Amino acid sequence: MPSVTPEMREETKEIIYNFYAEECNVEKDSLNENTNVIEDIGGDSLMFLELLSLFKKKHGINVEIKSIGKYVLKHPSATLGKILDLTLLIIEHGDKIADLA
Amino acid sequence: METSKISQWEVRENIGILYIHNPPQNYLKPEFVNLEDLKRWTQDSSLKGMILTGKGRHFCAGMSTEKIFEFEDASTVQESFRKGKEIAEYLDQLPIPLVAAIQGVCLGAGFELALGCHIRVCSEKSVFSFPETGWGVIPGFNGTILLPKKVGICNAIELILTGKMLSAQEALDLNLVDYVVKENVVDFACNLLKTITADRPIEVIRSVMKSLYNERTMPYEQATEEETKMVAKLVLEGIRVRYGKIPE
Repeated sequence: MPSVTPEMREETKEIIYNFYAEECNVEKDSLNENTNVIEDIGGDSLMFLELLSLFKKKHGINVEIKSIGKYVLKHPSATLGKILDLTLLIIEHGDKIADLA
Repeated sequence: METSKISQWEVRENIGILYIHNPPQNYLKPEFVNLEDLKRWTQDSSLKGMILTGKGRHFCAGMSTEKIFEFEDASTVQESFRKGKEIAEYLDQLPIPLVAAIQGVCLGAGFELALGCHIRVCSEKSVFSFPETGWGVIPGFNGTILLPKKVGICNAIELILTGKMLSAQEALDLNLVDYVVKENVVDFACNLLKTITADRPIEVIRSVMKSLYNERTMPYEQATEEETKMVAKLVLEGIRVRYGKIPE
């Protein structure tokens, strides 16, 4: 699994913001790390799985939905900042994020 | 738009559209539609095709784990799943092409329902998975029956036991979907059905679908005999239309 570099973090953030802006029909410039996906832009929690599929091929991510669920139960990821952190954790640890919960 | 349980029905230019409507995730219940309502809707003799899709952003997130573990005893579980499978079986034997138009997530029982459709179309960002074994159950909505037929026993074992998530492209590579599209999946499915059925008479469409269903469900001798009866009936109809008479 790759270690997360500042460049990777920035690139990942860009992809995430583009994804939510497009899917929720909002201006990308209106998004920030405190934007709540459900309350502020009308998204839902399952969109994160669609988002992950964008990173799957690039980073060879292999993670079970149950592992994500287990982690999110203890570390709610409702804002874009938290979603970025979770995405990077999955890129770095794959299915082992369940052990980090 | 008519409704039944967590389903909605509309007809667009001879194409029936059945929506799973349980927003926002579209969690499924085995009896997601009243079978009698579904029969009434689909017995419209002008229908040339049908689409199954999810209302909103997602096709279907499968059954809610909270609901799965709310059942009181084994017989209640069995009864509920049997009724759900009756609906799936009814959809499978419909004498018109049935397209699953998949957008967003397509998980568990939703994925199983889609596998029961004749054709699957999905959006580029769709995600597929059988997460059931992670919760200590199995894809019991025909998943273990339908999946090996599509991907072979080896892939079926791996997909079910690992709960691995598949992207749209991976699903296409495994022949789990037939089309991955950029445009709105329901619009694409409507156009696909219109193209497939085009100017074909309804009786011809129905005969094709019935015979293809027979091939999957009947012994060869019986299926081929039924096919012969259908072609004879259609030939007679062709003669009647062409020459304006019924041959002796």
